[in-house]
Amino acid sequence: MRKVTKLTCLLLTGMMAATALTGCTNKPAATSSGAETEKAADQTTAGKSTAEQITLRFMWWGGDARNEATLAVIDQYQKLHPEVKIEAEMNSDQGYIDKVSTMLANGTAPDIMQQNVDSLPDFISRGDFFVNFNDYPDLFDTSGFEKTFISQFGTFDDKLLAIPTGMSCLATVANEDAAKTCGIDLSRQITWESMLEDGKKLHEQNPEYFYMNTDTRILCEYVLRPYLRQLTGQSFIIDSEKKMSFTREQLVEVLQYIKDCYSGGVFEPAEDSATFKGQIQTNPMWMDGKFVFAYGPSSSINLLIDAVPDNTCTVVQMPLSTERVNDGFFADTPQYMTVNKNSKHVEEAVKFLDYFYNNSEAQETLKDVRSVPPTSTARNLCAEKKLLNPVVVSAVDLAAGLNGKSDKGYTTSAEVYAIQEDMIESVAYGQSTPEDAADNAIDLINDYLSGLK
Amino acid sequence: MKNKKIYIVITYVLLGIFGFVMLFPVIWMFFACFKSNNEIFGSLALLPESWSPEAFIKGWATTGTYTYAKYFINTFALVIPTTLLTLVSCSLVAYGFARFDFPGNQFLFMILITTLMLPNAVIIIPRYALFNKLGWLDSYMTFFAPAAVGCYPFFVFMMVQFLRGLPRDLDESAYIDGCGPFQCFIRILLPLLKPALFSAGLFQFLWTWNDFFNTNIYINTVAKFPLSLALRVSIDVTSNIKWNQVMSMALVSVVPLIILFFAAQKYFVEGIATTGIKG
Amino acid sequence: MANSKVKIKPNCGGWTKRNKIGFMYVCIWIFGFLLFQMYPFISSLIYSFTDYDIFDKPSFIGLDNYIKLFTKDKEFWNSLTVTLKYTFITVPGKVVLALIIAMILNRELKGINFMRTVYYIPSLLSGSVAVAILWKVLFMNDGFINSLLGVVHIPPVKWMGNPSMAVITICMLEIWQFGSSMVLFLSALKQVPRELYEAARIDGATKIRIFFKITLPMITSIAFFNIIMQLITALQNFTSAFVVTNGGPNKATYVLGMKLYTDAFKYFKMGYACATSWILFIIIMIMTLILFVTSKKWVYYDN
Repeated sequence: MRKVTKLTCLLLTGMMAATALTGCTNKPAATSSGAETEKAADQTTAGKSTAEQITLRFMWWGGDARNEATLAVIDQYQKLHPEVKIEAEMNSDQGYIDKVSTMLANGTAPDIMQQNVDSLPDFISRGDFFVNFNDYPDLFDTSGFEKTFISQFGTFDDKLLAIPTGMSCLATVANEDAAKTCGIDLSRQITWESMLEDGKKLHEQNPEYFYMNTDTRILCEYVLRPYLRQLTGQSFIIDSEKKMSFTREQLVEVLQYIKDCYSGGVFEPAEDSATFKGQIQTNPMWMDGKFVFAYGPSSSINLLIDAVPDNTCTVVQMPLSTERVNDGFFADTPQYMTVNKNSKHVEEAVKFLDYFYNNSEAQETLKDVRSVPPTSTARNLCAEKKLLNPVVVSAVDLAAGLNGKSDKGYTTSAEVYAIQEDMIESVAYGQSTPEDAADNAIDLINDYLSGLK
Repeated sequence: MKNKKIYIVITYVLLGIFGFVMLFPVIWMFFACFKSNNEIFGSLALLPESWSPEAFIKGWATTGTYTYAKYFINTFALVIPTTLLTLVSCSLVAYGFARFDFPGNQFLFMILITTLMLPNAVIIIPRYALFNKLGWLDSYMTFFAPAAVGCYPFFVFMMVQFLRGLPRDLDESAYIDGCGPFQCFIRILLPLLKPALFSAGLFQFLWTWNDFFNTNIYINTVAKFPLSLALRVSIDVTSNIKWNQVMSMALVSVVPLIILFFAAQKYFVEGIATTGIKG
Repeated sequence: MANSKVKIKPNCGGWTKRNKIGFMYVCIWIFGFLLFQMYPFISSLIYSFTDYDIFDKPSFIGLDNYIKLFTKDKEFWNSLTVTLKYTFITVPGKVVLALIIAMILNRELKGINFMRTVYYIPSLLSGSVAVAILWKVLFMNDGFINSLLGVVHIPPVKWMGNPSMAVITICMLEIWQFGSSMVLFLSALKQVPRELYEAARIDGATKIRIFFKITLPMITSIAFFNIIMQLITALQNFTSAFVVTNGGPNKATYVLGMKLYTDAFKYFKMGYACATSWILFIIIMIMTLILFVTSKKWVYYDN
């Protein structure tokens, strides 16, 4: 009976496959849940446990160049320390924060994690997840970092919970050829007013060109908040007082500004840029050289530059209002490295990071894949060997002279960020007036602030 | 007569065109895998200019630590046990409902039917918290455990309906021969239940293979990603997306399903029919 | 002695030895039901009255979540509207299309099986990320669909960038997968006794009358089942909105499923998300109830 044989065959193959595969999957399950199970497995099966095999999970995000360099450093370390195996978990930046927050919540976080600067303060406020590097002075050498830099970036309540991976800033990349075609003078300092004016004129005269390549999320960090910081001199939300630093009128002003930019053709219509949200370097118009400027963090402007290989690019200073109270923009770190406090191999993880930051071979390999290196030793080494991309260096130099202060904290928590993005979107899509959007946002932010524990 | 013939011809033609339109996205996907990235956009041509398997090779290898081989193995490791466990538990439970009239049978069956309509969205969060407490998060136990205890009312229902169609005399003759209930089940009913088992198995295989919502929430580490999660990651890359690679891997991930379908068409249809008609 | 074969009351055989064993089998399900369905179901309700965020212990806050949902959360109303829009386009679209095609295919024509297969294949991929990605690529601004429109001189449509079009794009994906409904209807149609058709034809009834008086009533029970299942699935939709448009643009495709997911797993407002899920549940219940109540009027059961 065909039916019988067919079914039995299916069931048999299924069961065989299942047993085989459950055998297969045991190994990956063991390695990824930390070395304890692997140690036990090794001792029982191989019995050749002369040195304990330790496995660390290391998670980060980045483009190809960063991935390659980081993998190379992992390789170097594994060669020097054969008892350590590091499992690399490479990710994209989209959805990275969600992933980390889920893993922290359910205890499946890796040993070493790259952290997003915006979300880290929020995580730290929710629990004791990260190792304090100050507890391991023998294993991690902080002398190469400037004291003020480390105290501003990475230190929370006198605990060094995260190590900054570099010196970076927000950058305005300029496509020199497009600028020439459109008659934009790159030596003039951009102000918010000039951006609106020049952008409108540019698009009128050259309808296929746009002034600025951006998306609604980028605008939060590159226009909305800096504009307000230059008006008020304070962060969007003042963490110590748990309140907003701006007035409703000021918020309406900046939303009106953004709306004018969209309607005036300074930015591409929101509908069109929506498809490239988060990956503006893939916008075909940028790749065709139809944007004069683009916004990006200094640690990934190479992605923007590489997308237009036939044009030369440079960086110009971020927009500075002539009547500003504060420069708004500031030098920053692009990411942090943290060690999971619940890791089974805290010391090994810390040792690896020490190698990552302070070893000269590692420094040479990593050069500027995470923007300008954070340690003076690395910077000197890379400058000597001319390893740093001059565009990245000039971007960071431009930021070094500015007096803005970092606004990471409640301002950059997932919820508040979404509120910022939503108000920009509703104005960009013409769904609400700046006044309505501002009122709505202020309502939501007050709600958020009142819900803080 | 001629009118009828013309009518039939028109019907065929219309059906054919509509069928082509229906299948077109899949056909397009197939050819897109062989095109270069630029050809996919802005051009109307269906066939690629040059047939290059590059997208498959590069797409399979990915730029990450794991190749799609790993993701395929993960998917099988997830789907096959889940399906088998579902079949075992659901058929036993269905047997209990269909053949034994213990007190409360009808009441419990009614509850079963009600759970058919229980939206996953309502229970997902507490389930997540529960799995967290049990330490099952980030493992496939989140799928195996519910499957092992018959938490798929659709399949229980399907099998109950099918069993009800089998005459009770078979049971009786088994009992006369001295079988216990379990033996009766194994020896007599199970072989007859095969079509339903097959259909249920196919559906569960299909649904679990395609599952994204649940896997997205429960599985966190890349090493354990099944195909659906791996595909999602592939459109998230920080550098330029190579759409032809993404398409090629998307195609590869649905090919097993299509093959399975063609091989077992009859059971798909019968399965749907059984639940639908007698409900 | 064998148990009595003459059962006077087939509904309740009492606790015979055999029945106890049968009950044990059902206990498998009872256990699973209680642990993985009942317990989460009740917990969800309880959590909805707390400020649970998975990091700390939940504390009771009464009806705050619900009040906030209804009075302050504009996003909730948007998501609700989007979800209802999506549901009321997709479910009727799918069911009607499936019925029409099933009727056409319900003839003694050669190659019908092949056609049935062809139409069923898209729904094989239901809920699949692969297909959502495919859809995304096809409907991009310079994707294939727009190129096709260009041939007939229609300007490119911003399928995913335009808030009003984005929902349509996702609905299309869902309606494209009408195959399983179609198969259901086909089987139902096959069950309609031929004699009824013969009798009607002899009586001289027109095709339309035949459809409404004979065909339709006979398949209403299937249609009913179909509509309910489709409704429940559509109201909880997540994958296509998430992968194709990620809830955008400007939250135009931010269905309740997505809001739930974001609130719970991104902002860790789990208590709040549970409240949202219960509202969704109540909506589903109300719609199902309406369908059940009206079903007495239009659903025809065989005996």
